[in-house]
Amino acid sequence: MSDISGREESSGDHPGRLSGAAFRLILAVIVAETAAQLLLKGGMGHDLIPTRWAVVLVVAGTFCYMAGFYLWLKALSRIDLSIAMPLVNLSMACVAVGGWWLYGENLGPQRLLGILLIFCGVSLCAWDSSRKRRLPPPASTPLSPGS
Amino acid sequence: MILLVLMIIVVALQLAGQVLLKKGLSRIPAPLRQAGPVPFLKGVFGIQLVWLAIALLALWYFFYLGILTRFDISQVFPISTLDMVLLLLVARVVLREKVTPLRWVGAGLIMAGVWLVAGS
Repeated sequence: MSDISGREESSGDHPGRLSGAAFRLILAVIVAETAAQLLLKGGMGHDLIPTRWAVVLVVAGTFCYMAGFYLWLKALSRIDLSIAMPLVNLSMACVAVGGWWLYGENLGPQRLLGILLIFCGVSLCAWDSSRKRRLPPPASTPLSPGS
Repeated sequence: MILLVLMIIVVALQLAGQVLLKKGLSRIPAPLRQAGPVPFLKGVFGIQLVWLAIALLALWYFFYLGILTRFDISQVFPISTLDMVLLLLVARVVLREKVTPLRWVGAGLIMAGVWLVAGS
């Protein structure tokens, strides 16, 4: 995975290839979404938590969602939707693990297998998208009038 | 039946929203994409298509929350898996993005995983 963790290619950026910078943005989206979901879950779904704290959790969760959306805008302005979208599904796996860790949600064999599959799929997509290959000129560049 | 209709609406909103968002964002001049939050967001919100996309995504969010409060999660989870195949298809057809065979395989693995995680 040397390609995706490598240096930035500021001039050679192509929306059809996952650069290191774009990959870090996607990771940040995943972290923000996971945090948001876990905070909202804590704020809404648990009677054990006092109301005052529940409000704090919901507000913090909403803030994380907004941060995640900002990062998503950043990411999507640089790479293809079909590269970015599969990767952010990693947050589903992270939320499942976080729910087990924080709230003691059950993590049976079916969920574990699912988490493993998501992880493999995301790794495969990230690796494939970051490979050096000949790419056509970007389908939509800011300079072409009809894009 | 009503659930099926609602699910189709939710998936359609998400797809249309994300595709329009991508279309809008690709109009941002290249230097602004790497700029700080303020100039970047100024550039983003100067594009009308982005507003339309965000409106659709906001609608998607409320529809989705509405469905989640009315139905059990185990009935609703196919939404999040269906989303992704259709999104790759739409990205390929509408945005003319190149989707490699390995990426389809990866997306298939992710879908199966999400199905197992959300459906359990």
